Amino acid sequence: MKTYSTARMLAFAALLGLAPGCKSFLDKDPLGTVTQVNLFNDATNAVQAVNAVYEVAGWDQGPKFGVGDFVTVHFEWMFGDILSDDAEKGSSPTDFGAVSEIKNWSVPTTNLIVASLWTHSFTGIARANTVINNIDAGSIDAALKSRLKGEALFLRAYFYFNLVKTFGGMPLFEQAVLPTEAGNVKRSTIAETYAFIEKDLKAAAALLPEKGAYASSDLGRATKGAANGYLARVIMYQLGTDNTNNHTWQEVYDLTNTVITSAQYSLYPNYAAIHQDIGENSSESVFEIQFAASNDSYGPISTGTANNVFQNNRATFGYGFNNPTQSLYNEFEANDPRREVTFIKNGDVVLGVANTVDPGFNATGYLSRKVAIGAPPAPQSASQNVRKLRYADILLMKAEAAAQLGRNSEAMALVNQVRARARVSTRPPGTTVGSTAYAPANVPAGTLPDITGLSGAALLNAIWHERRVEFGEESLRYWDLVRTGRYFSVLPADVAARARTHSITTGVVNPIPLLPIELQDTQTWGIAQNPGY
Amino acid sequence: MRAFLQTAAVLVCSTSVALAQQRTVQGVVTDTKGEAIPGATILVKGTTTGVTAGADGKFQLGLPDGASTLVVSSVGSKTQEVAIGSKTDFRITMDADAQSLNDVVVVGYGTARKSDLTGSVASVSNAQLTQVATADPVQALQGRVAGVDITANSGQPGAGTRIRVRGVGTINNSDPLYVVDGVQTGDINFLLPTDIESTEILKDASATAIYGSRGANGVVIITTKHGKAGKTQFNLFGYTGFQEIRRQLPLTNAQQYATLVSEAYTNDGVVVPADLTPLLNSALTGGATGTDYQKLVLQKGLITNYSLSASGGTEQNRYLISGNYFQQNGIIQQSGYRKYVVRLNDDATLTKFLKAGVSATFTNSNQTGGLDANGNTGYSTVLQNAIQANPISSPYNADGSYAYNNITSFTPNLARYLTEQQYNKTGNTTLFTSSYLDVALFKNLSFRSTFGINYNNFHPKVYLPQYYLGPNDRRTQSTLIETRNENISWVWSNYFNYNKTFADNSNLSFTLGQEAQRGYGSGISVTGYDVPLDASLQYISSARAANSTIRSSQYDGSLLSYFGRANYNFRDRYLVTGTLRFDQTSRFLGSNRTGVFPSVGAAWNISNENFLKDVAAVSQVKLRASWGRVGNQNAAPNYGYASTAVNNQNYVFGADQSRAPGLAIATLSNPALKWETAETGNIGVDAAFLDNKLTFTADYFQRTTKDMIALLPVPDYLGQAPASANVGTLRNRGLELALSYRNEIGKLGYNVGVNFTKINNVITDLGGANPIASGNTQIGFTTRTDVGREIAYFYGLQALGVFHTQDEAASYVSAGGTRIQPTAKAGDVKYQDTNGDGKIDATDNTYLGSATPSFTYGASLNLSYSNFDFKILLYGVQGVEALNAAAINLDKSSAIANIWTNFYADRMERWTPSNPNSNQPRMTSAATTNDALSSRFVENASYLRARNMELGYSLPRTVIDKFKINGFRVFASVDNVFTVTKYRGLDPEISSSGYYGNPLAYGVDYGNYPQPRTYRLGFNVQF
Repeated sequence: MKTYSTARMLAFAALLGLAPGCKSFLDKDPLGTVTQVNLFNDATNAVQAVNAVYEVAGWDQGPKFGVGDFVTVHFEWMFGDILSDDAEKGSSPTDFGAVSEIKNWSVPTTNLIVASLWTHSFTGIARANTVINNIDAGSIDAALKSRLKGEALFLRAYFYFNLVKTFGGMPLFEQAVLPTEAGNVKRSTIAETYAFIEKDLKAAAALLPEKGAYASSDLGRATKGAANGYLARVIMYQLGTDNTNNHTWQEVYDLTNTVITSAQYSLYPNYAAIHQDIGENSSESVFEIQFAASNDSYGPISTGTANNVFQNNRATFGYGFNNPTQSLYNEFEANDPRREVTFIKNGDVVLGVANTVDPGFNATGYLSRKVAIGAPPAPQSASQNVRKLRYADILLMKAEAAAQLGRNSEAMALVNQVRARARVSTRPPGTTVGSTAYAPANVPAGTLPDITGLSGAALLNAIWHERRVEFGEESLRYWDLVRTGRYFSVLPADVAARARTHSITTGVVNPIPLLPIELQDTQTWGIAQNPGY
Repeated sequence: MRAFLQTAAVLVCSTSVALAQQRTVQGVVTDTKGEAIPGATILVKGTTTGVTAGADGKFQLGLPDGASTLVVSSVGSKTQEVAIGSKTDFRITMDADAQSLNDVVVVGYGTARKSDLTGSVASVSNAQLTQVATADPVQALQGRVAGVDITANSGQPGAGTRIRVRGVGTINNSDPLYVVDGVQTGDINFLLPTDIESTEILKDASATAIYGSRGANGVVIITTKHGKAGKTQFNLFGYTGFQEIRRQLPLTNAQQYATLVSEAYTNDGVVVPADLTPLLNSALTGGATGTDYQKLVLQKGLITNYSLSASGGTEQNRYLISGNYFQQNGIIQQSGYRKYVVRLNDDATLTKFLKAGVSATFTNSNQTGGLDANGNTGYSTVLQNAIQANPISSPYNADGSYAYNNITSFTPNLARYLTEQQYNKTGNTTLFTSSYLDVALFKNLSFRSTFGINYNNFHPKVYLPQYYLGPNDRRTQSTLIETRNENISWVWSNYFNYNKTFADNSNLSFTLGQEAQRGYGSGISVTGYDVPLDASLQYISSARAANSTIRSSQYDGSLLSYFGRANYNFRDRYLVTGTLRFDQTSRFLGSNRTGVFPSVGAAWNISNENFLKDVAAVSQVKLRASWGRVGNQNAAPNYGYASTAVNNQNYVFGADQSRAPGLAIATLSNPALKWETAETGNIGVDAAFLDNKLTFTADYFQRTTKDMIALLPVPDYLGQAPASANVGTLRNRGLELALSYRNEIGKLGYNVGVNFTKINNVITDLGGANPIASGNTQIGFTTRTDVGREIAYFYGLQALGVFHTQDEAASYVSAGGTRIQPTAKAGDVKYQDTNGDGKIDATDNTYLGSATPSFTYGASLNLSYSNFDFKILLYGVQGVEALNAAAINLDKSSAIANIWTNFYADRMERWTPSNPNSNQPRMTSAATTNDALSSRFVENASYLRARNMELGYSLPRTVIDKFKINGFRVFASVDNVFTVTKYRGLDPEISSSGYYGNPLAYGVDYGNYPQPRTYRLGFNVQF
């Protein structure tokens, strides 16, 4: 029986052996990842949490939330240029019909471009909310904390602004939305949405440093100037659309003036170089989305963009979309060097290479030269930054405010600053084969003369003309047309008729055409759909 | 294994009386045909003295004093008693008994006589498992057992199988637990069907609750083949054959395609786009047939399996060694699978009271063509692309180079795409080991410790070469994705078994134990760019681009458990079982960590009552009832309670535009996550009549899954991926019937088996959450999961045919007199205004059917005549719908996403002014609602499939004796002989693998890789 006892002892020892280690045996921390709890206790992690918000602003395509299903591409030009009289869809007639749907105002609720803009914007808002709501409890340095919070507030406003001008009043989220709240969420009005954006931008302006206060390695982050500039733009847009918040042009005047007097910005001397490598984050840059070439062609890991690849010549490395129109071509005054910087015609030499514009893949005979850069390593990994707010826009916004306030000479002086810079522009880089040099434009005397003696509607028209040619193919035209009440008149009759059925027309300064909210969130989650969809 | 266990029981008890032997007898045990029955147990009646027959059926036995009768038993044979008298040499012939209730079956942490069970347990034998040609032991179970629904993930070689025990138990992971030789595991793909001795499927809580948190979806217990004492026995098995597709879809040829597309534009008075015109015109005028893309990608694929084993040993030490090779080329070019399995096991009696055993299985498999471009497994898109490609394009230019296709340019050039599949490989290596130590402590008490450790290395590799055909069909830079995932899991179980039989045939047994489990692993995936095409350079080290991408994944989880079971059998009539298990898991926090899982079961062996004992026609009748609660911890992700940051959210800052990495909380968190539990009630009856020739089993059950964990879909405006949450309740109620009959008419032996399963699946609560939409296709979500209906039903508009005339369209008006479809023209689809609001929109979406069947059934027939045998296995699914997502494109009325993909050939019967009675919509280039998600794309997917037919011939005894071999059989076999179905897709057997296993995409068919028809010839020889 002795052996039996031994065996029994062994067996019980085996049973008991694990008991003391129970707790540590079962306590497992997530491996290899930071959690929301400790994200803001480390300066590097906190900065990276904010980087991840910018990252969403740079998504023109990618998976849902950065982890889920693929959603298609969306670019600002698909709205700002395509919806206007400045651009046709381009490429072959059958290529990427979802863009045609937008161009024609016959957009089904299944259109993937609007779904992508919707999903990505809210992903950005959620990530901004992670920072805004958790950073105060973190143990990092107070100065860094306030800057990072300012950046997140700016970006939340940036995403909401993109949403409100495209889709109208939005559900407003100060906090992360709980899944239990989903489905009970209601859209706020357009005015409430704008008020929310303004509140964020004002808070951001108070927290953020000026551009010059950032280290050179932080170039590209949101600044006090960017927050004030965007606030001016947000107010100016309300003045022409839904001004329930009773804004005045004086506010636009004051805000743009604040940016100008901050002495952080100046017009970049050569207009032809603004969209080139050398013009990235230049003295003129108030805010731009940053990209760098990347081997990773897809998803959040990629640092590149397909933005300019989509718009480039099919004959080189592009897809040939977003073709500038004859109407825009004709808008330029004689010999304005900005026209050549904006357009590629058949046979033009671009960056030292002769370009053929194939009519089978082009709708107007033109392509945008502002996006012509060298071929990227992969289609989705181009490096060109997208300029979102230039100092020239600050000047022209102030000019428009001054004109509206009757300060005509001040308005004209501001426009003339922009015209003076245009006058001295060179030709775009690489206009002779094999060269990438900036050839002189040899503008004849009298080109782009200073405007003088204008007032009232004539002055406003001159400013709007200047905006159209200065910002040609920079995705601002559609919003300018809407807020100035000129939109439907530039559309073909059938398109205008359809656009009107999707517009808010009561209680507004000018009708506000709206695109549809994606099918899923209206069908399954009860978000109210826009008119006519 | 069963025989082994019987033997073991005999041997344990026999030691104490071994010295009392007086004389020795010998003999041989054979079946009615005179073939040896290896492993039969020969016991001296009234004692515990006995032996096991060797592989040749021979035995030697020392008789104790007073021995008068031998009791001879063997699995599958009727037990018989033989008077000893003065004989010393016995020739014992056993009658076959396929369905004996006295069989010993393996249950959780022990074995039991089938007649002693209070739970619902089904058994499948090795012969049944190896009837169908597959490398997958789960697929081999299809059609065999009531209540067990098996669907191949796809016909892709090596793609795996979806198994559901008693319906879909949760909207999350519904996979059962596998227990291989006592060791729990989540996957048995490392085995081949030929390695398995027997399979038991535990279905109700009385049987599964002993596995607690892992038992909710049923338990599949696998006993692998082990060595038996005797002279070394060799077994060589092999077959070879080929596979082909069951059917190609009838699609339009070039001329038909061009006719339809041209008509779409002319119908609306729209000019055909300039890039389309020349292509369409040449197809129209030339009467061209164009390219048959299905033919381009399909092939007849070779299938081969060889297996050689050697087993034998002494009573003290028994072994088995086997090697197995399986190879399958697939029915799509560049798809294939190879699997090598080496097994080794040894069972030893160490001392009078100590026994031990070890077994190891090493498996290496290689799959070709099963990955998508991101390295995800089981998602081949070759055939999907082939049925969408437009027939007027040719994959080749006149000079033989790959052509660029402008019309469906987002469909890659298939000829080129096919060649790329050869660089798409998944390697998988597993070493699965288990070992045990048995200690006989006292007469009725034993202790067993089992330790199993499983190592798996999974390494997909995808190479995507650089090419340029055109702007939408090109790859600027070659890419190589190489992944290494290493997973280790171990289970250590320690338990006591007590078993006491009383004089009145009553029996008391209990099991008490403890168990620890841990699973951990890590994976690294490297993506390199600009890697040369040269096969010897397709490695990360030859990447020429400066940057590469590295990702890693890692996890660690553990489970600590205590369990107990008590059985009481009163005079072989009344049986009671109770089990209780406590589980603590690392997947949850705090008080949610512990789960308690009880069960009780009772049974009444009516046939052992005096009033039935002497009724000859009734062999067995037993009533069973059970209730229990089991958990499903696999529904919860490893760190589901925490909000973790995802890295690699890269942006750019600075004058030098350098990469600025970002960290995002991309997923919501839920610290309150807790166990998902299933409560199961079961009543059943087991009966056998006419000397066990007719057997019958029926079960009725209800399983309610509570606190169901799910990744609840969230609106996109939430901006974060959903968290796991305990959201709902799901109920499965079902009826299972199994009936078999066997008999002989002269030389003709036959055995008929049928089984039937009906399960009613309903979501009873979603915690107030919104209905869950899933199964996304090019036209939106297709399924909805909502309270009051079965899981993932199809949800869309109800189509009511087409408007045959303009008048008909104009007169389709609401109660208020306004047109319901104001823009509809003759030839457009008419939809039901379900909510009666006078217009058609998303609020008119309604229930359109689901992939949950009304019932499923299986039937088998085995015939034997002289030396010939014939088998047939049928499997059917009735009352089931499928969403033919491929047909959304193939039945389109207008271009979807502006792309004109191919059509079903019967689109030629569309509505036209000259064919106004058609019920198929007109062609149009304008935006219409014709192709909205509707009942047009929901089809009856019921089917009856002949899974296998096999004819075999065994050489007669006289011939094999001459060649000194023990057995030789040849066979010819056809799998998936025929399928009766109305479904228009490639295969009505649809799994959700096209959606990365999403259970809510149940029955959505994107053009799954279909089940092939397989023809093969094989042999089996023992020597």
